[in-house]
Amino acid sequence: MGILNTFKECILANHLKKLSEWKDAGFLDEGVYERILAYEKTAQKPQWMLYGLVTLGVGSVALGIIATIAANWAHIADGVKLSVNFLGLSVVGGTAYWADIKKKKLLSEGALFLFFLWCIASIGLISQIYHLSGDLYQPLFLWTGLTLGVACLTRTLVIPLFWVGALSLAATSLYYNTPFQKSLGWATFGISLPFVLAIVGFSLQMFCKNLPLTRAFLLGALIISMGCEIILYMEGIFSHTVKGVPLIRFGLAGTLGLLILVHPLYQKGQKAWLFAGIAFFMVTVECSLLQHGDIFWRVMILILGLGFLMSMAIFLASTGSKFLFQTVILLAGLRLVLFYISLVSGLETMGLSLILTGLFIVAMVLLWKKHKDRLFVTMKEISS
Amino acid sequence: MILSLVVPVVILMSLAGRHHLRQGSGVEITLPIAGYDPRDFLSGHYVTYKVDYGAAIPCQRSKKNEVWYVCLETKTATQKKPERCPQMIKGTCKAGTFTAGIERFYIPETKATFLDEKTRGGKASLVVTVDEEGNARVKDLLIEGRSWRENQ
Repeated sequence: MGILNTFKECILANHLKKLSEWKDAGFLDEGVYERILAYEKTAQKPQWMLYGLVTLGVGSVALGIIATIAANWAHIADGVKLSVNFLGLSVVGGTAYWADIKKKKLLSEGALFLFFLWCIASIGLISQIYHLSGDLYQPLFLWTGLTLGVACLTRTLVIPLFWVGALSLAATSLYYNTPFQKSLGWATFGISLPFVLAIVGFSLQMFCKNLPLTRAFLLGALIISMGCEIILYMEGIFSHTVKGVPLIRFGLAGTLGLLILVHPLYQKGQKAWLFAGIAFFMVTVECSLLQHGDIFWRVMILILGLGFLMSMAIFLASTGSKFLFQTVILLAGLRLVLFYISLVSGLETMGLSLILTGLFIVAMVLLWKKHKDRLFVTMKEISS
Repeated sequence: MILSLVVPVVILMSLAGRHHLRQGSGVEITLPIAGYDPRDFLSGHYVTYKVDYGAAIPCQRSKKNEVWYVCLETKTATQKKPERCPQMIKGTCKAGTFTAGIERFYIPETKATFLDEKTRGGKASLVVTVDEEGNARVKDLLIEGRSWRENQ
């Protein structure tokens, strides 16, 4: 405890030094300075180092238990494995409920996430014990179906993001196992999936405005659409065999457009940026499907793809979603890096291109760090 | 909130109970197998194998996910459920292969090499239980006629 106290005193001394600097620079007047000083000296601060050490200890015990169980797994009776599993699942579920009632937000969210993961582990255990085989979509659909309630209840974006990811993976696996995969092709599926996710996300938003699951659907749509755009771009360069069904992609784009048009939560400016995003995405996709591998078309596709991401960034800035806005800007940066990497090839240019890529990334991060807040405000102003 | 937490537990428990009951019922059949040992990201180690049903199933010419019945008595495969066949297995054609949901057996990691060698060497067979509809469930893996647990 002596070390902990010394550590705390060091932190306090640093705080006091900073406060003194701010007072001298004129940011704080004498009264505020005195009040902060009094508060810092009397208030009970969370003992982060203590928590860290306790977490380390608990983690070590948990790992030890898991390792012991794993070493003796074959000798444990199936009934015991299942009983302990369901007991654990019930305890974690009970903890989540108790913590929610007691308004312990962090514990409640942590237990919900553990419960969410424990459900797929239970499905795995049942399939292991009864030697079940099947396609990937079967356990994933079961998991997402069972945990839909949990995904709706949570207040953070973590579980919904995993949930939407699992649902998308299940849909992909199901599509692979249907005759549509051969008749419609993967390009059609790749373009359709983000549209379907966006349609579900915007529809849900009309009924439950602040549901994290809604944001997860929309973020999922954005990430998958960018992934799809990149895959189509790469396919266009290398394989020249990309095909898609126009009726499906235009039908889905039209449905999404109509949904946005009648959406009661967005203003005209916001809707305009969403339309621009859809239009940019569709044109990017069409250009990629044309399979032009020459530099002019590659630059065109890059500009159009960035246009799509920037439209979405402006829209997100207008909604005040700073996290999603920053994610989209990060994706735009990654898109640029990918374009650059696709331009340089061959071992002789590898060293130089890696150096340039590294410098480019560092420059981007520094610029971003310096201007991110101003950019957010500017984009917010553009949309209004 | 209670419903969201209780329903998954109840469904998973009933799923396990259902499989337990099904594994214990039906006609018990032993089939020869041959296979290999990949790794499953979801459930640890398992062996997958080709089951020898003794009948020619035309999956190469069949459509994806088409249902077939194999009568083990007459050693014939039909798309219609055979009427007078006490031992039949129902399955589907996937990627040119007949699958009945019994092509995977989970094993401890330490026994993987031993069981892999035996399965590859054609010394393994599979005990399954089959219900009246032809749905098969894996019950045990035999190595040279004895349960794999007794071969440790």
